[in-house]
Amino acid sequence: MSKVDMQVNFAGISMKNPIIVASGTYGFGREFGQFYDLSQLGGISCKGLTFTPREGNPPPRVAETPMGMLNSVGLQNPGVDEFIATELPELRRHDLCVIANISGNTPEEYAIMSEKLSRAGVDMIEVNVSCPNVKCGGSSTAWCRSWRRR
Amino acid sequence: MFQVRGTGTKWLAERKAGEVLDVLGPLGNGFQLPASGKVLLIGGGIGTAPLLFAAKSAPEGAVAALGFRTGAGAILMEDFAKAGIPVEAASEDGSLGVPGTVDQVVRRCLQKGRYAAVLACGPTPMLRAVSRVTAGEGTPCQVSLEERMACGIGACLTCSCKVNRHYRRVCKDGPVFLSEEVEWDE
Repeated sequence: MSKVDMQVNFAGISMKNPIIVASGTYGFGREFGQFYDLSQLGGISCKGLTFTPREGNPPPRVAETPMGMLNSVGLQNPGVDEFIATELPELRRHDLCVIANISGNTPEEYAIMSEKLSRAGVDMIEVNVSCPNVKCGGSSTAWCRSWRRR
Repeated sequence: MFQVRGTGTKWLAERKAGEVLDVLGPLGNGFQLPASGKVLLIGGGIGTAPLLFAAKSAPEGAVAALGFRTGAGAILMEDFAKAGIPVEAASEDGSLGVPGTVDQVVRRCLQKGRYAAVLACGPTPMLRAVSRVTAGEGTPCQVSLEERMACGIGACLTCSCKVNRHYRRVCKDGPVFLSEEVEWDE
């Protein structure tokens, strides 16, 4: 097969192809990395991070629907600091765009996480302001309004 | 051996001998068989299937306690007999073995014999009951947990169960855990 240039540029970030695995489906890539070279991806949108580690929701966390599945993991994650210390260096061994995904309880948490992740050198930050599976996931419109004011 | 539970298993059941399948596995961690001593195997329904293979691999023999909803729905009874594994059965409709659930049979087995390990596979209520019966008996009980899964390799975190105060992935860290470490009421 001849080589096709799949390179894309999104918001000034260049990726060798437009395939980005979605947040929550891929963890931090470790598990899928056992089966193939993650460098084949354009990018990875990492599992949602929070300011402090979260255990997530009690089981059952997934249900089958006629059209697919619904899940409610509840943002289980090791927290932003642990991600920067252990997961990010591991991801950096591969040639792909690393997108961090963040959820905060307050606007300040979003700001601090963004700062830490920017300094740690992630390529992009995806902001989750709509997680339906946790109380403070930003799904409240009153919360959004207060955030916008800031 | 598997049970048709949804779209995937229905599709699998329709495959014909000679067809080629794309399979990823085995995944996760299986039972740990002891180096010596007899093993007590506890199976419920379709959970009986993996225990037949464990029985054949046990170094110094095994006894199986198997529970089914109905006697008519019992599986692998002949295969256990053929492998020389004594079976103590229970059925909820009372048509096979002891009427009721398998945990009563397990209690009797533990009173009668000494085992180096107890291995259990079946639905969660059965495993919870077995865990109660085996607690304090001094024999470590390994349980193969059943939980709905999506990815099967530990990435999506949907099959998590609380083990030793933390959520562990049934597909990757399990499915076999020590029963005393599982938080059954979570």
